[in-house]
Amino acid sequence: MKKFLAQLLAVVLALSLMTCGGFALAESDTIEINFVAAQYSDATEAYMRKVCEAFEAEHPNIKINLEVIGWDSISTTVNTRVANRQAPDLYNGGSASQFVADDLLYKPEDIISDELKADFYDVFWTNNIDPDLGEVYQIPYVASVRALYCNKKLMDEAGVTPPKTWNEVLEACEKIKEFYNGDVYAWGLDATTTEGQTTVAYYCWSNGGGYVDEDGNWILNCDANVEGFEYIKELYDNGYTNENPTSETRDDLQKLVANDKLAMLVTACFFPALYPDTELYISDIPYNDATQSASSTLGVQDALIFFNENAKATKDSPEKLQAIADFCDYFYAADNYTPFMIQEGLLPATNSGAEKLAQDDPDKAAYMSVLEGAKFYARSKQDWSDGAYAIIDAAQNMLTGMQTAREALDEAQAVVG
Amino acid sequence: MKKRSNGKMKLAQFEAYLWMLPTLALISIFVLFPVLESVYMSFSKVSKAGFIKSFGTLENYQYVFKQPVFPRVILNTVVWTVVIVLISLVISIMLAVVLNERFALRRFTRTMLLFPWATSGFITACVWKYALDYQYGSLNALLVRTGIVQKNINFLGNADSAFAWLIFVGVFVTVPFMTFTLLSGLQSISIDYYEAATIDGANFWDKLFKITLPLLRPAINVTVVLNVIYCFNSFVFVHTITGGAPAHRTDTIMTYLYWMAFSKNNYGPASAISVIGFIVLLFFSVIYMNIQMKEETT
Repeated sequence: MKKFLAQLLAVVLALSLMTCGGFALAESDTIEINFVAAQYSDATEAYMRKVCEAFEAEHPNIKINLEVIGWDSISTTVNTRVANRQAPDLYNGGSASQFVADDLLYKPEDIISDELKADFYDVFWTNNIDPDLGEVYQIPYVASVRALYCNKKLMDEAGVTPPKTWNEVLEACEKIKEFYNGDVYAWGLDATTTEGQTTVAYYCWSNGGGYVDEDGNWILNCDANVEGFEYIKELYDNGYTNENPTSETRDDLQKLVANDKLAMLVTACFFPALYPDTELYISDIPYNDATQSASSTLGVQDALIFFNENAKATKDSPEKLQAIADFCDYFYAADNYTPFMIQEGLLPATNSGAEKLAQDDPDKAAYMSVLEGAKFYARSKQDWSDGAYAIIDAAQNMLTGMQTAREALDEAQAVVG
Repeated sequence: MKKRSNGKMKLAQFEAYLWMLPTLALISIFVLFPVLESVYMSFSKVSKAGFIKSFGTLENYQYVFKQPVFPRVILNTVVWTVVIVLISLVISIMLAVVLNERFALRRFTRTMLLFPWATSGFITACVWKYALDYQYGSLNALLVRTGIVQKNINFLGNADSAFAWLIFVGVFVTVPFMTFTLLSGLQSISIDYYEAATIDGANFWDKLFKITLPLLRPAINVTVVLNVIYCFNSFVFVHTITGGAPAHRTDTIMTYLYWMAFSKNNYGPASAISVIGFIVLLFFSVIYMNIQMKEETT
């Protein structure tokens, strides 16, 4: 009996060891991909999780550890992890420019498939070239285009049509100000740290200015930019804009448009999706017809970056890199990618995604043709954050009367020097 | 015999160190190490990703002092700290004297006074941010509905008024703690002094200036030093209510440091700012303590 029990015990032990071994083997065979993604809306996480689960179902040996984090804390979270060599494999929420100098990133061309690379719009891919190194370290993730959105009810009541040029903007603002006797703001202006660098770009670029020259050097205090700044000040000093442009964010202003308190606002193409009940006129960003012959469209893109082994505690096997490539192919496949873009009110960065958008949401597809000719700001530049904050500071210094447009931009140029 | 008592003393000392060991370890890990790391980083070249590239440079300090806005940030920090502590001190002394008297609902009043201090700083800051909002703020709604003003007031519209409101919020959260510190000081003053003074014909003001305030000085010293440190290092109110806007005109050292580190990813200059802040704080604390010690010895 004792012998039998001993044999039984041995068999049980052996089986349990095999089971443990089996699990261990299964676990070691599983490739885990850590993906930190930005939250674009309350629905982002649910959709992303659905895509990840569907991918895992097709690839049982790959597990996607998805973490969706809000914009207010995503960069702090990831920066801390990078500093502790615990970076995720995939990260959408920041710019590669911050990590390139430390050799923390894979070149996407070494990871993603040739088919996926070929599918990206050229304008997006080119915008991601690091001007200092001439290489691409991030791939387009989502895009948006900016336009002038006018509250239809307010404009119709005041008898104003969407303005096309700077002079027409001044005329329209004056009419709205007089008609509503100051109860409605005519023009929205966001010079906060959230969106200031984008807002200022509307005026500088529609006057022929820009933030960098063709060689990628900062030109913040060029004459066209100074004139753009002076125009912003004119709008503000005439009482056409919201009263607190240094603290009222894009979200606050969009809410004012939806609540019939603000008539005109240049903002992103996802605005109508946020307030579907608000009737809007949509028009190009007004330009200075004294210096330009047409409007200049501003495009904004968010990127996806791939951290390499220098930012992590573990080595990446060839199988893992292939798994990342497979996941990218799956995520950017039009059937998965375009519904996500439609849900978030954003635009796809791939040709196949745009084709599907044309079928599924023809109204939104009109933006794609505009996007092809859009100008982007230089987020790939390694000192981009210095430049962006210098521009915001300059706008705030000018609007609060501390400096003239010229003084503010000269100081901004000196900061990025 | 003497040897034996020496041995006992050494054992007692060893035991004391042993009891202190966990605290010392915690302080070393969570205070000392980060402080030393900050100082080291401030003299190092640090990449945008936060990695130290080389040690032995003053570039971070030069960069910080070259920033046109930095003198304003230092001035803001000093004004913010001094004004909050002074106003709070005056209010707190008055409140402590009142709360030390016997009156109906005294216990309830004391409890109510604790609320602003017991509430999380972030929640307090959020409440004030929304109360002061120009478009939808509850303070504006109250003023307009009661007919005190006709149109909403732009409380945070310019740097000066925004900074004044920040100081108001700072006083609002500082007064409770200060009042209770002073109240505990008042309760330690023997009633005999007041009875003797009453017999000698002293009035309320004589008692206040000749008994209460001189004997309250140790408690005032403690609360002033603690609150100077607390206000100087305060972050959440400025960060939440104005975020330093416009153009850093309402920034203090702490919020400017945070912006430099986590918005601009300039970790080296951010470390330099933290070291400068530490030196400024040390400077004022030492001056204050010296003055107090001189007064006490004379």
